[in-house]
Amino acid sequence: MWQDALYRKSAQDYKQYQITSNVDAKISKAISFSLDILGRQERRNRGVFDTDYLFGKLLTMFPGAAPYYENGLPRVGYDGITNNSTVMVTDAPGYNRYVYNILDLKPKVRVDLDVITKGLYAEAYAAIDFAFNYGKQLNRPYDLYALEKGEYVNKRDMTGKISVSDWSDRSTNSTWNVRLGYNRVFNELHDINAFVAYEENRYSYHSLSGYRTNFVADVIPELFAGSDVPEDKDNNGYSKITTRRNVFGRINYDYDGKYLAEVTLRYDGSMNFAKQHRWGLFPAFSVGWVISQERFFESLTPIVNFLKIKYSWGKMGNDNIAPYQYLSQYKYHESTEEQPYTGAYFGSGTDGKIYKALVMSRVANPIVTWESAKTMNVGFSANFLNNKFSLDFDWFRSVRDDILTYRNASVPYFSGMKLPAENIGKVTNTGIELVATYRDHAGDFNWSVTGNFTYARNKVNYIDEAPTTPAWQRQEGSPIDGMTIYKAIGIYQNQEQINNSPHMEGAKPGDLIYQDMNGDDNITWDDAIRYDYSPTPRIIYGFTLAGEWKGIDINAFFQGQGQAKMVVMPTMNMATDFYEGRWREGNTPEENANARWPRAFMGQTYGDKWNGVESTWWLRSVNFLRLKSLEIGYTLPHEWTNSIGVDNIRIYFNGSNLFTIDNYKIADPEIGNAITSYPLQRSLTFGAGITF
Amino acid sequence: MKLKNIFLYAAIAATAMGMSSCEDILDQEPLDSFTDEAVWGDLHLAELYLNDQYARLMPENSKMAWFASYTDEVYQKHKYGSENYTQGYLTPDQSNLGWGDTMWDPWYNYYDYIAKLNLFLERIDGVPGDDNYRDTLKGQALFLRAWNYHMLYGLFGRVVIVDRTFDLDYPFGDERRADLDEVADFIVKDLDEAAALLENADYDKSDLGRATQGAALALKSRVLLWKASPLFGTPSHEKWQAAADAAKAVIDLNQYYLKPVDSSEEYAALFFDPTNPEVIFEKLFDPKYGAGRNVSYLHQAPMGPYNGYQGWGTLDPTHEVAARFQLKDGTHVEFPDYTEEYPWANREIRFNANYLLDGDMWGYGNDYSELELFLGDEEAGTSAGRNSKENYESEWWNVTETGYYMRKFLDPSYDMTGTTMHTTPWFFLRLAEVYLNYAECQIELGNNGEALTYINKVRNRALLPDATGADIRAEYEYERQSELLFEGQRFFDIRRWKKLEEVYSQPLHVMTIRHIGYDENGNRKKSYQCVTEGWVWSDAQQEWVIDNLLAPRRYAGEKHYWLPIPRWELNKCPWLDALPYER
Repeated sequence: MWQDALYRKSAQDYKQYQITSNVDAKISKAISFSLDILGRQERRNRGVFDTDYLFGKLLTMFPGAAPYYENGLPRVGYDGITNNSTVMVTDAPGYNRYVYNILDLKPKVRVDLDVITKGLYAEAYAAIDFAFNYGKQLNRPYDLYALEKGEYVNKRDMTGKISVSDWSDRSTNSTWNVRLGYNRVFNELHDINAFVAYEENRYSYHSLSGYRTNFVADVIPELFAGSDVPEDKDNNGYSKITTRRNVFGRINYDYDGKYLAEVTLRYDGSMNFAKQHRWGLFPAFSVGWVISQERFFESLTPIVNFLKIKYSWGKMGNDNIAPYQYLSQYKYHESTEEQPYTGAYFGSGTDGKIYKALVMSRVANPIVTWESAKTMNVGFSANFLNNKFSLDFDWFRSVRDDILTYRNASVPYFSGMKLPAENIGKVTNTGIELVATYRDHAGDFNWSVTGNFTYARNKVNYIDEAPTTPAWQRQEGSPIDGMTIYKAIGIYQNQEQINNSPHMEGAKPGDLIYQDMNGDDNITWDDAIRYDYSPTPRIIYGFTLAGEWKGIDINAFFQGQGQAKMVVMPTMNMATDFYEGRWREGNTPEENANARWPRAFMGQTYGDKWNGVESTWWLRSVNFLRLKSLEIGYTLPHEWTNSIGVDNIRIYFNGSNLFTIDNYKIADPEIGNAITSYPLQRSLTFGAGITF
Repeated sequence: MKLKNIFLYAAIAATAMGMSSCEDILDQEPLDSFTDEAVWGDLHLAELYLNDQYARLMPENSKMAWFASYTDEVYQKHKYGSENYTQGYLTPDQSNLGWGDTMWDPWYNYYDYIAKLNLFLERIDGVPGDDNYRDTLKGQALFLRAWNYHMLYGLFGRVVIVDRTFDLDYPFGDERRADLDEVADFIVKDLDEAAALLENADYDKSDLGRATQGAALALKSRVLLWKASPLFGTPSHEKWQAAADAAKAVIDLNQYYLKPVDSSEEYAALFFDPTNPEVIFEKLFDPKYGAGRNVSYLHQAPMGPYNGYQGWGTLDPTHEVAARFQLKDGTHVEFPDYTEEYPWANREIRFNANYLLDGDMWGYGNDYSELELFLGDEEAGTSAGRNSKENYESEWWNVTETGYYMRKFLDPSYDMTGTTMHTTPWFFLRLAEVYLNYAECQIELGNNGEALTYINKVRNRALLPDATGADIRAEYEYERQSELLFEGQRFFDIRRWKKLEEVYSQPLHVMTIRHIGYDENGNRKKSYQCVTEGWVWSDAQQEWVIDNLLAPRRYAGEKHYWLPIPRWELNKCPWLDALPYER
């Protein structure tokens, strides 16, 4: 597989090679053995600037700037020498090439123990995944020109020095699984499937990297060719291990295909918790009843061909937190954007050097343990109209307790505590899921329509909140992913209006009017409200239309979401939407009364507090309906293909992400706020499938 | 298949599985961090923990919004959040002073550092090892804790005194904001203990930058000076005397002296040298970027193809303060509103060391050339200079608004295109400040003679003749402002003297230099004009109007002297008062 990036003249692409081999062997009557091998190599060629950076520079470019001068020379960037996106996507500034080598092995052995009792078997497998990855990044100076006093001056020596970073890492992920199982049907009615299993997993990772700068030339991009001066060299390396152990079992019982029951039990151990709190017990059970098979239902079967009702209840665990929170940990400080240091410097001149700094990462929580989610599900499946129409319906309710969350809202900052995760959160999530299919044919034309619909809503039962949080801001009772924003109710048209209403100090005509929720005649954060919608949609739906006629097949898949909203504020070179609909002092009073947006402000750089804060005014729906994929294919008539010795030839055209209906308008609604990420692509594929 | 063969195979398989689960694989030790026992079992690791707090010390030259920007010394061209204070918009919801941790969130950050030091102080006594080494570490920790508290004291005044660590179940609710004098006394107690512990510290040259006995005593003199000032309580003879004694204690150590200089260049070079003998406590930088970033070059340097990297002209020194500098003979001249003579001739040496002016030579290596800030004149047929606001081919938006650049702390021998960082240190405490603190106390105690002696020590080093004592308070304030220019003390001085309203009521001048022709030798003739108002485009009226050229400061009332406690802290702690702000 080979894929190019969507930049012009880019040095970026992706290639992948893969080989799989599955071998099954029967060693003897009772023992069978299989070995699956997967090998894959992914080769990536990237530039030295990452996608977010490139799109960020592209979006903030001065509209009057140009990447090239009239004579074709590349031009220096607008707000910084190097910021010329057209050059940054090429390999002139260097490249970042890396390779992932993956080898997955899965030997499995199965022993039939019918000799002991019929239906008993033992199975064991090991899934061992190796990854050997390596990469090299070369940075080099490149030509950018600036027109100074009539001359084109090459600013190459301000674009950096030649440097090479060479890294490799390896990881091994091994899972061992042993299972004892029992499959038997008694009296042709009682079908029993049961097993008990033990599994353990170990993931270990190690990485090593070296760096040198101040190379004389970039023709040999190997570390030895770099400068030998100690300040020009650097290296790094670290290791990581994560482990897990589980014991679990399941019993399935099926009576005559009519009554179904299943019981599962899990006992999971995680290394993230201290010894006494490490293991969690998670049971689950479900029952099903195929009513349509009952004798009393026989008269109804012409109408309701199939009807099954089901109920399940289960408890699941989650341990996905940073490990070792039950210990106090002290780490060497790593340089970050906000805190760019690795230590303190003492001494001066030749006596001066840097000394490492040790930081305590957080207060320990020795009793931290599993989060649990108890989920209940009730539903039915039914077929109607001679099995042409099928319907699946589920109602679920999930109560999560012991959610690992931080008490950041109530523990005072003057305590200086860095809080660990504690098992105190409680959330309930309720919803329904519906899948319906209708299948029919009219003569030679077969067609089907399938639709799915999900609605889910969650509610916080307990979360850490500051004691003085006003009622309209409380998160308890409201969805966990809602927002806390100001409520904006209009735009101030003149100073009188401002003076006669509660306003932020310094508000001017053209600013947003905020609602004074607590009636204290002043707009402060206490007037912010909890808004119950969020970018996470409450409704997700989709439908597929499929048809087939005389060898031609069509399949269209639509996907959509609803009841999702996001705060979108102007940033970078945003849509003219914000610019043209705004309140302006130069407008007529009627134009201003109908202004969609407040007066222009520099929220990005200067922290404008009157309009630059998040409020309901900036809410935008991120609902959408997207034609996710459309495939049209034609299978050549079998008479033709058979005559040339081929079983089947099908040619097809496939388009994905063909169009989207939405109100978001600024970018793809699924990207939301991450407007500098790589855009969703529309792709068209032509292909042929040949079977021999 | 024979039963016993099955069992054999099963046994082999089970053993193979079992071998891997012999040790409990869930018992893992972190591979990238130290445990509690390790750190508090070894004085050397405990020292590394202390190093983190040194790394957290925030010098002015790592910031974007310097304390000088909130005073009459500097106009912050790019604002960086400083407008919250200078325009008087501080509220509990909008409690940030400027961009950068300790400016954006001082309450949160300083208490974070204090909590870490409290942990150190609770555990250090139990760490085995050499007693003297342990005492040195403890003394340094006490100094650092006092440092962080003195910043909280200076910004918020009445703060919660926290001197212990807490566990997860601690029932908060009893803490209150201590009174001003209580806070000062707590800081002084820490500093006295630190000075005692550090008296016999076994330091050598590689320990330069660590807290010393002198540092503890110098900080004590600063804190007691604040305690005695009008903003921090009721001044009294006892308070001034205590402050005077604290300053004298530093002087009597006889460990520091003011290095004499001969010229502006030598005075400026005092600030590049970490071994300057008057320095009491400083922050040092790693040329390889490992110990924080010194970004003063970026914010101070002029725009243009100089020094490799275009400066952003963020910190524009004001004309007001520049114009106050005396001439070499100690006299003061009125700065004319308009003149065609070079107005800055013959000023005292500190003037040229502190300011970079139009016509000065500046730049590194090939870029060494004249700074051209002048505008062109259509009638005279002259064009604007390379570094001026009207050179649209270069970054005209980064040019200074006031007509001056900050030269102090910029090392002209630094190569911006190189791979090492600008490592000019930052002096937190130096002897000149202690001399001036002492002088102020003596003036308040009525001992003008003693005060004059120390004022003159500072003056004479700047090659100025002695002050006469005719208006000792004005002479003292001139010396304090001129010597400690841009170092951050002015912000605390104008507030503790309760002069914020006075300083904020003065509009800021803009110095416009115009190239109006040539003189008989072929040199450029320039005009120098300073005004506070000029033609400004008004969006409201859609026309040019006369208005203040630089946004004037706004005094928001008595509460403006203090920073508000942030909203989220008030929400978490309903028992704390928000005075002088309203909840």
